[in-house]
Amino acid sequence: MADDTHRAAEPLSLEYAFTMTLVFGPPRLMKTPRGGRVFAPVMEGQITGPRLTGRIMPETGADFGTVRRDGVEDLHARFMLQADDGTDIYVQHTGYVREDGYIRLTPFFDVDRASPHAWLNNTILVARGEPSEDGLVLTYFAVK
Amino acid sequence: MPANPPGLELAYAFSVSIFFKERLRIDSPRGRVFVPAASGEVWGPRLQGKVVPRSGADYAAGGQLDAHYMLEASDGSPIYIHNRGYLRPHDGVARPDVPMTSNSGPWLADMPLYFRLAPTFDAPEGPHDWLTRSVILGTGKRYGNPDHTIFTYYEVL
Repeated sequence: MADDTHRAAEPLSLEYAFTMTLVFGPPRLMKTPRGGRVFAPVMEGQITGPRLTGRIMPETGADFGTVRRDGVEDLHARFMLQADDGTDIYVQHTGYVREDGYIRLTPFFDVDRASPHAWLNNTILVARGEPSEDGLVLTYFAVK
Repeated sequence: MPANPPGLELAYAFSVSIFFKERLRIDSPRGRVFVPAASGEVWGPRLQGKVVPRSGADYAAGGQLDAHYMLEASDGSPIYIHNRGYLRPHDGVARPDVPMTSNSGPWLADMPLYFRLAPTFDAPEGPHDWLTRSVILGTGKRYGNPDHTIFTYYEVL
């Protein structure tokens, strides 16, 4: 068993990484045995910040979330990014969209391991979402 | 970039110890490992209980943790955890060539690691269902003698 010296909570801290704006197209909703299947196409978007600048490649993906019986959406959004230096970046997110306005996501990235963005391949990040007029603004933080 | 991006708060939620007795590496194109959880405990302000013995394992591949276990809260509620994340040496630290076998002793214990998790949970509707609608982040720390990991989990507010 762990001794008492192990029992103090290890600290965890976040560092602002970048901000992504997403523009959604018209959403579709299907009633399926697994809940309400959302299809919300991501039309375009921009990325700015200290750790990444670039854009969302237009019409490369969507949120394919599921609305549960308690009204919470299990978000599952995947699409392609392109950094300003031309590097292709695949991202998939999971997270929650709650009726009280809580939007929090965790992204997982696939990037060329020889690129300057390879840190995204093995770093945990978290994003908070705020609705915008035509989509979402996501603020990403790296877990240090 | 926004002059003042909105912040994000973390709140310590609970810790989980997981004890290990064996590690199996499948020499596959994906580099799969199988690391079953023998037992463990859960403590902290938001959840107390235990890891259900032999209820799951880490099936990590491609450098990404992919662990599935069952927890049991002190009120008897079953809770499923899918522990996703990364375990690697901290930037600039060389990883020692420690074979990941049952005889390798305190595997990666006592070295600086970037061991971070973004787990998801499933829990019955009731006092523990916050785990199914809040993003949780965690950090892991390796210990030897006996071979175990302590995970510390935070709720993203």
